[in-house]
Amino acid sequence: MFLTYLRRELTNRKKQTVIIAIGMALAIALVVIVSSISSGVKTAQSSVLQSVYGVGTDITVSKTATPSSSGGRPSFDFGDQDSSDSSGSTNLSQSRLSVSPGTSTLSAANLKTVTATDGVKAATGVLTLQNSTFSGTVQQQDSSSDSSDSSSSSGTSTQQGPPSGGGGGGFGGGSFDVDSFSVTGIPVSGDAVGPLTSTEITKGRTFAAKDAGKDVVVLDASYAKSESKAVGDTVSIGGTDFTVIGIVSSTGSASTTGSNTYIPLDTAQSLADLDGKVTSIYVSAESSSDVSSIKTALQKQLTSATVSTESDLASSVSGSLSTASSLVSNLGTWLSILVLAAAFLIAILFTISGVTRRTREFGTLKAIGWSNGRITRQVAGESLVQGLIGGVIGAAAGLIGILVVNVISPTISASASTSTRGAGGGGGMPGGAATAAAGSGTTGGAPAGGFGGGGASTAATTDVVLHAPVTVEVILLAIGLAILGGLIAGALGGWRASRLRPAEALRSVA
Amino acid sequence: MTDETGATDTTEPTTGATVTTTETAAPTADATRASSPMYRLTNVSKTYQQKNRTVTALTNVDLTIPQGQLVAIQGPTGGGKSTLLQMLGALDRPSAGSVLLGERDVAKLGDGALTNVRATEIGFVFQSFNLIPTLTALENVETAFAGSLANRARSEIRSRATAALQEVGLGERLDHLPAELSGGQQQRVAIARALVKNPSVLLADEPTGALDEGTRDEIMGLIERQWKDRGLTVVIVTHDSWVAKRAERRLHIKQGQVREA
Repeated sequence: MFLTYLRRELTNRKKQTVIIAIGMALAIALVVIVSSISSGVKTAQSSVLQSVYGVGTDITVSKTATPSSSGGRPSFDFGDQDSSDSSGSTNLSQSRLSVSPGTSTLSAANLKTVTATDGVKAATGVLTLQNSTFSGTVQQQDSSSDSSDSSSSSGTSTQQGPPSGGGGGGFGGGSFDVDSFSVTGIPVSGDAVGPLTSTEITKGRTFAAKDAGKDVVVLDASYAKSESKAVGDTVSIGGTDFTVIGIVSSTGSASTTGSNTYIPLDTAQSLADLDGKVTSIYVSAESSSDVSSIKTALQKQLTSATVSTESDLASSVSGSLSTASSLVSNLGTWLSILVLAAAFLIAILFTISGVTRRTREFGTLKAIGWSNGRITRQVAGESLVQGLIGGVIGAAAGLIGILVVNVISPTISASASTSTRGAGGGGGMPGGAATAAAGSGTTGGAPAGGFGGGGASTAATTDVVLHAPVTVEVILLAIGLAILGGLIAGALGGWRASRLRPAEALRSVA
Repeated sequence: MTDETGATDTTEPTTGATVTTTETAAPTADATRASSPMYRLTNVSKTYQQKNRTVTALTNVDLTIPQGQLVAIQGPTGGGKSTLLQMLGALDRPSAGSVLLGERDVAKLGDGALTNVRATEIGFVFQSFNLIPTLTALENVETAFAGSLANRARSEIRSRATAALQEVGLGERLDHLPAELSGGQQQRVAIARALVKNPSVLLADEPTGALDEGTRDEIMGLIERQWKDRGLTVVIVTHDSWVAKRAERRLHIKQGQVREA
């Protein structure tokens, strides 16, 4: 009787069934889509972070540069090796390898401290550098009018930062190129944590123990493509030619890896005159539950360092991915809650309205001996099935929505940075033309605009294809919410029906 | 007070505490009827609270209805017919007094017990039929299997419901929805629903009130036949004097007081 009555009510009161089902379906579809996109955004964030920090990194330790510390702006030392032609112009070309702007170095002792901390499974120190190459031609002015430090045959001159405009002795009429790409020195021992853990070799090979101290380099695939480099070619880093031994690409959805180039750590330290120094320490914990205590311990031991957990790093992701994340977590979530609440409300109101409309029906059933429990079950059953119909339709609509998102595959950009520093950028020489090429838009936060310096210290910008995954959890969530909505509406409707006194429900009696 | 011989005995008509037993053309065993009354109402009063005023629906009613009697209740609107039928049908409890149905005092039964009494011992027929509009005639009759009867086998429920509809002449209308049936046919379905569980009592509220004369005669004929064949105790509330005259006994209720008509 229960199922027969249920089926008859649902099929003969189609309007109510359809309205409740549509309301529930809309809500469920929205929840499914928002949940899925949210999951996709989280995966994208994780992918971006992994491309920078590698897989399995729970904590990073770095040090933000103080205004007085080194490594701020790239500086070039032009000696007399540059040639001057008969027209009075001077050709300049020089590479410089330095710590990325805004970051400072940690010592080997810091690495030992980290490794010795309780709960630390592994720790790897890396040295992130920036290779800046200045090349161009300058027009030499009348030397008698300027006794300043511009390039001259008298010896060395150093240009640091944006030269002041005006005054005599400028480089008016020249043109420059400033090419910049990131260089990461990593241990060749194949540690389980670090930037290369989120990459895979696509050509050549990765580092081996024999590469320690050698001038060998592994290139990011995107960078290699943009620079037309292949295994066996050479790349100039800090004025030294490095042989390309391998090319790596990201294992995640990020289009690039964390750095343009990777070289042995000891080679990087030697080349940058930073023996024993690293810029970041990547830490993996024994257990995820240890992360918080490790962070606290490291903050106490390394007071001048910045200790960041994965969640701290996640907050550093910016760009359109951050916007998407914010949109999903704020607008999407609240919209889902509102629509869900509206759907529940519609289901409740329609169920209660239905009970009111069927007062005589329930009064009759009570008069012929139906118990309150049986009537409540009947009403709740009807409401539950209406909710389930809405849930199934909503889940299907949600899956279609997810399919559309995945077919469109929107590409969103993201940047991850651990610290930022003052203004900069811009620059350029008065009367000249300066261009800055940051290595194919990947790592390095190349200070756009020539000598300006500053900007993000360790920023990784990458494009990520948003993929909205369909998970069992999302489907279960949809069904669960539909059941919940049906049960709430059914419970309230059933409760109202059970409260009807048969004598009052049967006004027609006598 | 019930007369053991079955003769009419009316006392205290002015107070409304009327106790009446009428024996006329009783179709069932007189001895059974006299020895075990179906209903015995003693000093029953019912008051309702409507906002700030108290409404008295029944006042000190004493009434005995023997088993197998066909009783008609008449009276003006608001006189207490509805309330009296609710007491007899275990739909409500009195504010004072006792309502014995057989040996059980309805006034002292819990909700669950009252529900089971309605499910097993009382059949209702309503003026507007009160069929479930979304269920077929057969399914409407099957709804009567409630309480302890609900555990019967599905096949038994179906066969008994089918037989009940055939008995009221609707064997060819089993799968029809109420909207597809005439008023008379709908009332036949309601009667089948009331009787399919073999109740002891049939309570009918204006069973012919919504029917034309010809159909009225058919329905009354059907009720009388069931009354005689089954030995039912039947209480009919009606405004129709023709229907009331068909009863063994006529009661008149006015301002909450019952007297023999």
